[in-house]
Amino acid sequence: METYVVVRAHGLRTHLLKPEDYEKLLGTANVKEFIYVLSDTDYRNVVEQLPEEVEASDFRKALFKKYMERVNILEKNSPDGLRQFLRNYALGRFEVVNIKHVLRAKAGGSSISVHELFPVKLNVVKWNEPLGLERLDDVVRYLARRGYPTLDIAFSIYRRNRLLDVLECALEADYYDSLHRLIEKLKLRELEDIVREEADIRWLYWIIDLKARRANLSEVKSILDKYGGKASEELWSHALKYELEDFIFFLSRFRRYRRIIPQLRRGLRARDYLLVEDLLRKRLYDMAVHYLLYEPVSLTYVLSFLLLCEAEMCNLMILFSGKKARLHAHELRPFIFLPLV
Amino acid sequence: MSLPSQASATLGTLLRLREQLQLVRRGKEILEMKRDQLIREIYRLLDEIKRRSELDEEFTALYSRMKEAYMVRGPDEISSYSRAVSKPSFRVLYESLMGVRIPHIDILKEPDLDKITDPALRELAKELWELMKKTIAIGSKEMAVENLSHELAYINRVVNSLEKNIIPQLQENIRYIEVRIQEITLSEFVRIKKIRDLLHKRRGI
Repeated sequence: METYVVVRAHGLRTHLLKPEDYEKLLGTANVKEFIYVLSDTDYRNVVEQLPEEVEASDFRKALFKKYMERVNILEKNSPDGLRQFLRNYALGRFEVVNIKHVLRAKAGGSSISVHELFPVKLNVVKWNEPLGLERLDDVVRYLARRGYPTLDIAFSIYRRNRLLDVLECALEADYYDSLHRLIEKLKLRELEDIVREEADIRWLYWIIDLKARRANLSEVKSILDKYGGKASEELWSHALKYELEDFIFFLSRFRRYRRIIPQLRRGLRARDYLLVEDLLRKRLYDMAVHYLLYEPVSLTYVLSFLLLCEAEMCNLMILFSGKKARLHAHELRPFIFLPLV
Repeated sequence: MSLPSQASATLGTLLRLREQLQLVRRGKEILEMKRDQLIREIYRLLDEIKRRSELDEEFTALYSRMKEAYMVRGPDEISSYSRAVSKPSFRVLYESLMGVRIPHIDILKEPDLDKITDPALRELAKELWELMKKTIAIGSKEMAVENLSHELAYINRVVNSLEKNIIPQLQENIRYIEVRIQEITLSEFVRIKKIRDLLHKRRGI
């Protein structure tokens, strides 16, 4: 059955957008033309349902719908254990995004409606419940009972340093921790590496963010430990000891980061965090492509495929926003990840 | 100011008009001093306002970076981050500069931009807020220049009116009354002379 899922993922991969599709999309003059060109691809069924005047939220939901279609195909033919894992892996990250939206709104005393969230039902089934709570600490307590226990620790740190980043870092920590525990429980050993590598990239992102904020890293150690990656085990002491730029130097210990280190350091020196995040994001997708090429018959292929689906969502959202902002193709191209597979 | 009738061409009126003329001249001098001071103040503010073009350039540069951030993050994410930030609050205070109301915008509460968890957006938002603060400061200076210019135009009109209209009219009135008084004095003198001659003739002197 597991092999069947891999085969399905191979089949679905042929539906992903190709570089020539991206070129066509980049060449469109406006949003209308962009949607028209997109309707000639695998996105036809979701794009056709979009209203005449497409808003970013409508487009984002359409992309999510397509993503879920692909996840459902993979899920449908998976054995129970794998199905549970795929569900947690694919939906969990969107649930985390939803919760981040809720936490930000509650921290700023703003309102947010359920329509602005991804329609995800995983740990939080009724989104109206956390949205109905007025205070941030009530929301945190509510979420801590529903699969995000680290939020409790993070909230006590947030009370001291008022850094919302700690709460968001804790959310992701719980997400990766739950994936590690599922891998352990379901004995899906072959997925361990890819999840740990992905967790590492996110760990690195938070280290950069928290160090840039001059946050006390030792205070958040228990949260960061939950990412459970290889880099987080080996580089923790360096993260504590060295300044950000010097710390990045130690990443060269991991071959997969060596290529981006000079650019990372340049980005950090210029405080160009958009470049830093873009490098990390592309590193994650490069890793997915690597697994796609070198692990064609393993379950890792399925997760790599899902990562590339996410990259595609991200690319299309960038193109859509770029078209809305009337940016030219040459301005958009550097931010697009083109999987040359 | 109308010309006084013959009946009012008295020494009292002349003294009163001279006092008026002195007062008007003094007033004109004060207004001219105020005008010069206003011009100096406007020039000083104009030097500061010249920085607006630099600000515009900074805004243009920031705008292109913001467009990139907008494209990468998308409008929904950006609105999500902005929800965490409390809105800034302002208070407009007025100070008096030579009797002219000059607005001064006081920032009561700055937005808590540290709540933006995305480092790229946080940096951009901080830069944007710094630019906004400079723009607000320059904006209030522009308002000050506008108000001072209105006052300057008003003072110019008053000084011109005093210089071209009221002072010449007062001078004309004074001259007229002086002539009238001279005429009256002369005719009085002639009348007295004639009366004295008549009295001398009667007495046979």
